[in-house]
Amino acid sequence: MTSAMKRNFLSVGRIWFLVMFCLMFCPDAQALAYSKSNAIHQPAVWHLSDRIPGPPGLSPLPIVKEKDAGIELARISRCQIDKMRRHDLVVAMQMGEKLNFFPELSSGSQAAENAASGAKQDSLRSSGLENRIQVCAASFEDEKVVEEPEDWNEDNPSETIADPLEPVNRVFFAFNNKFYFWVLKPVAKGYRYVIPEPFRIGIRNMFTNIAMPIRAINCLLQGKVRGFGRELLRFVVNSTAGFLGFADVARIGMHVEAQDEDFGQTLGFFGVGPGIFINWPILGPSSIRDSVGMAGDYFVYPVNYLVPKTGENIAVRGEDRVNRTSLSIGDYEALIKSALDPYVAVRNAYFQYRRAEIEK
Amino acid sequence: MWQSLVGMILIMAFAVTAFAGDPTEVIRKTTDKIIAIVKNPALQGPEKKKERDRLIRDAADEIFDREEMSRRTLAQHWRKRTPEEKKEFMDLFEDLLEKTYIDRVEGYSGEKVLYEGERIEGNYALVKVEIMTKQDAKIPVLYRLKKTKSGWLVYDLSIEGVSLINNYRTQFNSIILDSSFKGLMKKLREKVGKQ
Repeated sequence: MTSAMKRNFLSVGRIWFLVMFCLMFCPDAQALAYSKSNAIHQPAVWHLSDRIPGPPGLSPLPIVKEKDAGIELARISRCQIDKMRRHDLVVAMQMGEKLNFFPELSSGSQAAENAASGAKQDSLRSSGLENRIQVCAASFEDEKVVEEPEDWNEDNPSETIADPLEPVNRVFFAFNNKFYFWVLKPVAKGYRYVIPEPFRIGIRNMFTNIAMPIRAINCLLQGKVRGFGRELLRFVVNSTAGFLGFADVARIGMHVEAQDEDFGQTLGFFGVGPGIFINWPILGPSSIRDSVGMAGDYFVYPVNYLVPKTGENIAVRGEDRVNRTSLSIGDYEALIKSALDPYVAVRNAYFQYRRAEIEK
Repeated sequence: MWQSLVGMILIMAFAVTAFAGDPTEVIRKTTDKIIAIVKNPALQGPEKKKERDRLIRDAADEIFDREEMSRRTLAQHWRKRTPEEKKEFMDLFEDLLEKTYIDRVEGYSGEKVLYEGERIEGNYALVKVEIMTKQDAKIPVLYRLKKTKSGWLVYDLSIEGVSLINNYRTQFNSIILDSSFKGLMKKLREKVGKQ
């Protein structure tokens, strides 16, 4: 173990300690955060009014249209949310407010206190608290149904990403475009020709499996404790029964999905904006926040410790990139083909994609 | 007695909403129709492409609200346009969208489409769909619909959180600000192959 490695592990340990310390004092906040992350399985057609049961106990469950383990999971998690006592929710929300977890709630804090003392349903409903709990219960519910023209003001900073480096970014965009069509795509096509698809999917799964620490740690940093648990479970199951991650048995057999978190998303979760758009050569579209995120994730990506030599490391990363490209030939082309200004199209797609990932 | 009465009322209520054309049903019907066209063995091969494209276009036209899409894409520039300009833009933009859409649909190779749910608020609705690719990846797709005289019509769709209309809006806005509306129309004409 080199001293640099030790230092890295130490700093990781310090973050863990900090996170665990925070979580000890705020156990219900993670349950809320968890329910938000879990909500992707929502079977839908819920009505806002039945989200929180009136008297403590179970509320009617959503109508399940299809028998599916993912939906079952959602149902079970739903039961757990329903079982949580209203008082716990209020305490958790107040704690979150004190820690400034939910800045948009600050105006509703008086109402939240009323709810805590009197536990009156009406005051709870009228406060932002209820909304927040609803949002936590289903990410699909986050989406605005009505979009009006006022929302699309291009001057609105939340709708676009600043791009003061546009001239440089465009140069790198042209370079990356050539790199894709002249290098990456031909190599990936040859690779696709040589290696059958099931093997390529297996290799992709192995790379996904070994990147577990990135997802697990960022789940923890965002308070998504169940997501963290799922990642650990997935890693144990897939590394053993799944032949070092080749087969994603945790997903197929147990319906435990990978959590898709990274440090850029963690920063976004805590309210860090993307800053400005940066189009890196080779690495592609990014932002200041996500570049910092990439640097952070570098330290917990096990491949960097297993294959520390620069040359070999690049070779392994190259294999990952070529393998993934071989499975998605055509996606980039479609985006470029349908665009009037491919650079702006990619920049906007990146911005929207990351925003959606952070909201998840 | 009472239960059966309540049950009957409930059944009637459900039946009525079903006939009114739920947003999900609108999407499902058209999706099934288009998949049937793409899979139809009688329409395979490059020599049948024209006919196939026409059928797909007709099916898609039924659920897409071209005026709403154009209005939302041009956003603040829409109001400044004359009716003729609006009409020309709508035609060109429709061609572009159809081309994009047909290119994407042509690549269909047996992906499963799962309907995850819908939400309705007044005249607006969201329909969530997930596409299971053959490579075991899930692609979330979100349709946004608006109720019009001719039923629920789609005005936007997001794939993996990327809204199509938002994406074009940013592109068109940047082109208009860099050159002019005429410049945008020229680029659009070049793109869809109408000089």
